[in-house]
Amino acid sequence: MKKAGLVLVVFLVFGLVSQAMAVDFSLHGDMNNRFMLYSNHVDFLRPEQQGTLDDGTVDDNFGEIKYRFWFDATSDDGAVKGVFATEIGGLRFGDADGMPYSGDKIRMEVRWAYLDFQLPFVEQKSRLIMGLQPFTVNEYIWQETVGAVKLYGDVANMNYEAAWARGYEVRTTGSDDDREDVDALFGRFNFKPAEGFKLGVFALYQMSDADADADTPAEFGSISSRDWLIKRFEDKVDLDLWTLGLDGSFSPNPFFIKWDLMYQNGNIDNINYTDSASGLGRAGDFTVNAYFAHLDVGMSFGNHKLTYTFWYASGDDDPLDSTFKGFLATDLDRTDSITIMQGGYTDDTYFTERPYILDKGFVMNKVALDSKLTDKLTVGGALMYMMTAEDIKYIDNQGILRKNDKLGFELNGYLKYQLYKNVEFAINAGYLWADDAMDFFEVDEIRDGSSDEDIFLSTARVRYMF
Amino acid sequence: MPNSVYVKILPIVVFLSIIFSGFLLSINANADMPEVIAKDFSPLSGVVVMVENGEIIVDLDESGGLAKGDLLSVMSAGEKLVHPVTGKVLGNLEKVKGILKVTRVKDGFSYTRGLQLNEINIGDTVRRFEKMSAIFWDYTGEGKALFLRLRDDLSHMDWMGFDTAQKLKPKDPAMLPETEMAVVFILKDNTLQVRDPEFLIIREYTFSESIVQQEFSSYSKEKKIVLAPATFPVSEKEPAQQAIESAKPMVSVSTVTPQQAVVDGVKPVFQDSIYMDQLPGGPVIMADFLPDENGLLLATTDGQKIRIFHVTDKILLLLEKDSPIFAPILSLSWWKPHYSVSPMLAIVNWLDDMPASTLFSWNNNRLQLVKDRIPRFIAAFDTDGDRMPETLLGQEYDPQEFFSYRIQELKLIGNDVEYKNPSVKLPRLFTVFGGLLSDFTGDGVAEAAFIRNEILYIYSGKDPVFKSSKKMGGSLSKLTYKMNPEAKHIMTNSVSIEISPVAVDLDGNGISEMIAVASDRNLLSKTGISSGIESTWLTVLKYEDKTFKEGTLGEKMGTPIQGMTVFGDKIFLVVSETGSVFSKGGQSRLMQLPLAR
Repeated sequence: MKKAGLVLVVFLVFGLVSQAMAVDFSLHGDMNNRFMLYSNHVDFLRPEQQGTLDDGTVDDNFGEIKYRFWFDATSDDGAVKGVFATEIGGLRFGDADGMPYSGDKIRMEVRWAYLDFQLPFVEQKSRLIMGLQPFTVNEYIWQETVGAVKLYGDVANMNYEAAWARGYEVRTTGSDDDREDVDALFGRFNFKPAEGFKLGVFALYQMSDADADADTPAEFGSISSRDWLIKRFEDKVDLDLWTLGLDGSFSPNPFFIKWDLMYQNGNIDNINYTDSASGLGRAGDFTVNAYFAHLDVGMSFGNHKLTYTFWYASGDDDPLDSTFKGFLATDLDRTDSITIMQGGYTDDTYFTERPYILDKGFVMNKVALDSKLTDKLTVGGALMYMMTAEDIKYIDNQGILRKNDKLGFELNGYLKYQLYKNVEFAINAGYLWADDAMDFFEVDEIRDGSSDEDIFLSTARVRYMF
Repeated sequence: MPNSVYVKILPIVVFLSIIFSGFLLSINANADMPEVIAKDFSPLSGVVVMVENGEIIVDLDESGGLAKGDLLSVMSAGEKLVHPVTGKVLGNLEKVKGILKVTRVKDGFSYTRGLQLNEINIGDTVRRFEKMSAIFWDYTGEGKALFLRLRDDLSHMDWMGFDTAQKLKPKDPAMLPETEMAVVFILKDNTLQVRDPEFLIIREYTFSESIVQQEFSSYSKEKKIVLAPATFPVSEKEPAQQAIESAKPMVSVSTVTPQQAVVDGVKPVFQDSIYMDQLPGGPVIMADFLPDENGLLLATTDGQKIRIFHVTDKILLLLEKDSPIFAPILSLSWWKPHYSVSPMLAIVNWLDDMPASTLFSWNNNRLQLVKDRIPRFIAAFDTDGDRMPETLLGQEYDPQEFFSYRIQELKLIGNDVEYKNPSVKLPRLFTVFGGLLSDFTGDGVAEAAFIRNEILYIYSGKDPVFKSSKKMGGSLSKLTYKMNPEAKHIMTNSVSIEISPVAVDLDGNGISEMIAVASDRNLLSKTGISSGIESTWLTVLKYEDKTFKEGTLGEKMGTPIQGMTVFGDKIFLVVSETGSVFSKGGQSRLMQLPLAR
């Protein structure tokens, strides 16, 4: 009875507000129930490349939820839109800090909170979006949530974006505190020179100041190659980094091509850097000179799609010199590999979200076939061969210097079935025939220069999105 | 001048004004109706000056009396007429080699399309209504005199005999095989309606009952036939202005109040509604009609299958076909470009987080693939008011707004699609789904009407001229889509794919009214989980006194309307009953509502 009354009140309020303010409210949800069916090496699936491979299986299975709800308040003509999103999870069933008996410890987080509006007096699309928002520079460098202010819109056959984002805020403590926040300025133009042809040009400038004394290395922030991601630098370094990019796609039916090219240049100063593999490193100033190239080529035939994917992320070959050659992403989630990246549906349990390993870059060769067998059933498989761009150099348990770049072959498969409209069941599995470069991630007992442990992972989910 | 003089003059001025007004009124009231008709159907003569994109341009315009909807005979020189004795060529026997229908009238020239046409050459002579078959159906029993007068005045037309025509006459006016090549004059209930070979109204004339009985029946006594004084209760125009307008074809229109029928004399009679057969398959989420030779083609989809029916007084299933790709169908619409003999069916699927549209040609009861994976939302529009959707518009997808403001007109070059800027100015908010391009104001320029986010907008060019309250549309075709499918944290949004309003001249004044679906929805519609439709009804918009007046047509229904057209004197509706939110279930029916005029 109490619930019925609540529904009625909510309805009336919505009605009144809609009438008076000409605002349209809509509610959306993503109710994602995920299951780790089995993995033989959950010890490897520790985020930010912190995982290790034990001698023998370290298996596990679990269930978890990640639910997200958000509502939009939008003016009738869509000119003004406010979004607020909450998220719970991922919370594992029975987790003492999350979903134990009685479930009293469920925590609520804010996922998005932003205002998006059309600039007044501008006829063409020209909008300003500010707040905690989904932010994309390029899917291989930065695609995540961040606090930002972004102007975006269209001019003729082109659209543009210009943004300021702050990923890390420094709260200065006094007149001697000259630290600067980690800021990013971003601009992009997208062109459409012909039907099916898209071309994007973008530039990203990122800066921060750790306020370390250049003559006092002890004050330098320490970064290892496992932290080779700007998000993890926090306020530890002086950053002055440019990324220039070119991306786009061309789709002459039935073929399609997609590409991304990025070049990075700049400085990372006052840093105490250590190569996690070799243990070597140096303190001081570094220049950055790195690049990234990606290409998808494929074709659609009937209800099938065949895609070949290649990417090359440059890696650093010498931790002792003053140049970082490893491509450096900011914050993103790559799902291309199930065992190494975030391809599993339990996507808080993974080894890396980056398109590279350590600061050694990456070479991806992947062939994928996706088939829609019925209007509800989709299956797919992929075979990939992965390497690092530069050797991982490390000392094995015999004291021998090893240089390996082959990560191995991985086979992925998935099945998705639509139980109801907007309700999907999916299951996937990946198996990595680990090659010798994976030996570095093995525990000391078996770090002998050759890989000993393959990795298997199978996950499933039941997801309702509305 | 002393005040006393004013006092004396004023009554005289008022008296003279009344007499003068009465004189003006009488001039128009005594206008000879057959003369008006004779002028409307007089044999204007012109030539073909250009053929462009399937449209034929002739050198006639409004200054000569040409109007949209008029029919032009394309003449060709026939056999030479030679004197059998002298051998002298007396002339040629002209033949009609085709018929053109005027679609747009410009200053100095007009656009036409071929109705019955095998070939056309620049320089061909065209003559309005020349040698066209004419049939007169009298539903009053008092119309023979009018027939005789018209036959005399319009002697350039080929008239079927009065008695023969009455034997042929159906119980209610309807298209017959005999009318497929003819202009049909229908006298019924004090209204003379003239329909073209497609059975679409060309002209309509209304007069008082007394005039019909007294004047027409006494035609043989050579009495003048006069047009009745105008009655236009909606308007508060000056009598003189009314009198001038009375010379135009019109029907009486009642006073309009909000939430009442705009066109009170024209309304669907729900108690006489006919539920035709149940449509096979699940509930129809989108349906579209196309007039064909002797009925309607109806295309429907339940989101997975496409079905095509032929609708007369019965429904005949012609084809059932799976979706061209394994992806939900959002919409379908008929397209009949001028340059194509066969109509085409445009299907819009949602595939891999993008629109993927397919064009089929409809030939011999089969759908033949013409072009697939068109990355646009596509829908066809009738921009020239001939009830045939000849313009195909494609709208790009915008992940934030779903409907991008970028809209192109699509043309088929062989089996390739060419994109060009649309010939009609479209507002930034326009959507090809739930959209309609038609002239509702009578200024000769099409307005853009569309339903977006439960609101009906009407724009004249870029200028908004009408915005409804938030109650319009109400469709079962809903999509929840991923705004950022590549991202880990996926955002979703929901959108309704609305059925388009229809434009129809309900009151016969030559200007279209709009019929659109409206609905009451519950809170579930805010979530995108279901359409949340609780009741639906038909809203009518009529442009009058420089504003759009809104009313309802018929009664509320409990079922969503997923397709609508007006054909002849009937409204056809596809209504769908749905199952629960997650179950299949549900069914659809075709509903036929006679329009009582």
